[in-house]
Amino acid sequence: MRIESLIFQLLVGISTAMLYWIVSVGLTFTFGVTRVLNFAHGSFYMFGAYLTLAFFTATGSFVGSLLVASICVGLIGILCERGLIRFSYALPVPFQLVLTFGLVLVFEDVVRLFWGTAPRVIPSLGTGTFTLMGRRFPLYSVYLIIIGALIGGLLYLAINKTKWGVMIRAMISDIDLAMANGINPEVLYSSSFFVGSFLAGLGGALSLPIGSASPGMGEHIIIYSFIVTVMGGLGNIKGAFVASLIIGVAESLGALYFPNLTMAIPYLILASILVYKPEGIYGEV
Amino acid sequence: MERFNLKKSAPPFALALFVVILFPFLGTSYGVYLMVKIGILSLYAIAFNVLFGYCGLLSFGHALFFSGSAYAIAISLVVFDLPLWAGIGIALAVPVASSLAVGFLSLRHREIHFAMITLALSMLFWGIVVKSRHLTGGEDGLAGISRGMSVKSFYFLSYGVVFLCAGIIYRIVKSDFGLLLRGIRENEVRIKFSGHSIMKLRIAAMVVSALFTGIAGILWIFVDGTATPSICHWSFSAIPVIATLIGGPQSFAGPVVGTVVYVLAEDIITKYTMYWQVFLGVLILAIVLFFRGGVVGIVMEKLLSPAFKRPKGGT
Amino acid sequence: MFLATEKITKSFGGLVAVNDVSASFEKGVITAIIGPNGAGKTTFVNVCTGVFRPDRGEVLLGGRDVTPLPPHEKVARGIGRTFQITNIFQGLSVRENVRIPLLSRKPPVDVEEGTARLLSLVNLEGFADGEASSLSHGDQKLLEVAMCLALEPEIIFLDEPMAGVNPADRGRIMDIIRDLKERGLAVILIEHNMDAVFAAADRILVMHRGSLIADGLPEEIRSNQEVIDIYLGGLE
Repeated sequence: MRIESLIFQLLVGISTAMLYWIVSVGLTFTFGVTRVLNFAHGSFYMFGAYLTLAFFTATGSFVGSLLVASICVGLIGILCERGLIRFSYALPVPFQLVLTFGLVLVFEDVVRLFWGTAPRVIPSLGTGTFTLMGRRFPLYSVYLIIIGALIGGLLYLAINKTKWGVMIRAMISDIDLAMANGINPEVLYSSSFFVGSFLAGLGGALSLPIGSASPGMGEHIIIYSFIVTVMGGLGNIKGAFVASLIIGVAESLGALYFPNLTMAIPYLILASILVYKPEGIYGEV
Repeated sequence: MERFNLKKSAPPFALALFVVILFPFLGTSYGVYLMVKIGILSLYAIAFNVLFGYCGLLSFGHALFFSGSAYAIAISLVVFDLPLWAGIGIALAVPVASSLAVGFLSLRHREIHFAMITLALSMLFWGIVVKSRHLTGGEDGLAGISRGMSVKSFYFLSYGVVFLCAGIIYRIVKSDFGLLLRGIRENEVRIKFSGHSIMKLRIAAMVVSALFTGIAGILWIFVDGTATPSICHWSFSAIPVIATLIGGPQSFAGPVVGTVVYVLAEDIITKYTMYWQVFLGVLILAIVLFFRGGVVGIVMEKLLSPAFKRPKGGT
Repeated sequence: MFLATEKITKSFGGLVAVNDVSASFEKGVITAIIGPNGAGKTTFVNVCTGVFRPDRGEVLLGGRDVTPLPPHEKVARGIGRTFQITNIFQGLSVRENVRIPLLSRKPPVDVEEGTARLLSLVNLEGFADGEASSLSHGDQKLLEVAMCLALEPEIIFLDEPMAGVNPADRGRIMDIIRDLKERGLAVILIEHNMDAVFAAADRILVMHRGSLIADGLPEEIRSNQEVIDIYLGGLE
């Protein structure tokens, strides 16, 4: 009995971790390229969920709705970057943060205006379960893990094996040198915002079957993304993965062993990591 | 703004004092209520700006210190039935202790960590408050905190505290300690090679900022006699951020001017629509992109000699 | 022997910037460190003053290991420095610039008196209330020296104090450097201007590609074949 619930919690933990990973890698990647920490990343997550819900109601296809919604969110990301955020690149960090925070306020009210304040759930997708050692496990958790791994693989290929990735890496290591070699940073800034926002939107969409869409959902995820990215090292993709896994699994196992502490677990882990390694697991000083 | 200048500082100060003293005799009771809120939130914003304006550190979690003190006194009085002085003592110790802890975790590396960690930790507190029903009353909060005096007396008491605290903060930021904080903002390397520990200075600034934020939180409890989780939420942390930006972070009076604008705007706009955050958000975007000096910055630039112009920006 | 380094090595990625350098510096002596660009001079200073920790080796102050101390604690133990690129508080007044280091003195000193004394030392009394950024380049360098002296260091690293300074101001800086020696400080001068080096230095260290290749009196260095080769080689 005990071992089954342990495996169950592990599976749930890893699949939640994949959700954190998909969203926070978007945040940390965009930060790595543009050096802007986007508070509105959580709003993009929220948009992903609401748009998927809207498309799903119209078409009945979850996968199709999810992809279209994520692309839409990616485009919203580009729009925000081109229309507003790019003007803050030269500003001191606090102003960049406040600018994206202004976007959060606007987006939250936009969602309230269109969809109201009550949480909305997606009708059951019937993704089914599988049985292991006499206990039923949700298949959706397995799908999440596969998608998380897939995202990781695709990002790895995009960054390490494509021309775009070479340019991104060149720019992260030395922007002046990269520009001197004919790399146009504007295009890379925008495309990194597309990728980051797309991932946020995808995360929001994927969260629907295990949660609900509400105007407060962006706030919850942005705080988790902050915890994950600070823990893993700001701008570090591998760090985001490891930190997401730690947080997701710790939270899930914590629910089993310390039910009263669940909420505080991510923060306690964050605090202990910051004490020993203030720059994060893979962060540079 | 850097050195004390009687000619420049006295008129706005005298004006503020004049308005504050006369207001209860002329305004409506709702007006007096609003004025008390403006006073307390001004102190909140001034205290916040010790970090933002003078250190270039943007905290997105000041609600932690505000509500930490507020809940400390509310719980002391309502749940444990402690005497007022004991409640105040605890409520002053809470922000000092929590700012030391938060500062230690957030100030050692990149400043961007500071915004993220302050936000995360303040939301942890929000979560604890909402979940700990037996102590905090959860979502409903705690009610029935008596201020034991008339609204008008409380008005003068709270403004007395606000002016006293603002005066102390003013002295602190204009002192050599304030000079060192500006030095960090100007040139961190030179501060180190001048023999100062940046960490210690920042922690000290953080404690000052948190302590006075806590005092504002204590006063706040007695305005409505209730403590609700909304003062722990990050949207409450955003109030001094927005107010300071509206007024201008580069001057001592900026946060006060901004708070007046903020409270009045919220009061007026929410009469007409529930979507007041949109206005606030758009206002923030406009300020960051076009008016980084805030109201005070614009007034200085337009009305006064160019000698007052300073490089803008926090870092 | 007042300050000494023991086999210091510091590399960045694959590049060994400072390679196994052992040197010592005496009080009341001006020691110049010369070498072509990229020889590792500034990295060496950065290790000595606490900006970087060396990969290997030790920094000894009066025989005690101070290697891991951060800059502000090295300063408190009497190690001061100026920077290659003038490093002052550009947006603060000249007076405030000098005040800041005085405020870290332990036990506390009379800040007003100290400020006046230091400003007169570098002839900047007349500009005390002006913004530091409005000073001429040479005066900014002098202000930086004054800020170091505010800490009453026993050893001072001057990283290219003459760079970009006009000839008249160079004379003033040289006078102050000699004055520091008279006061018994260990002065370490990183400089490209050979006239200034041979005019002022009591002893010269030559660095090349991270290593210390010569250490001696100015006349010895002047006739050292290896040094001549490197300097001629550096011109090719």
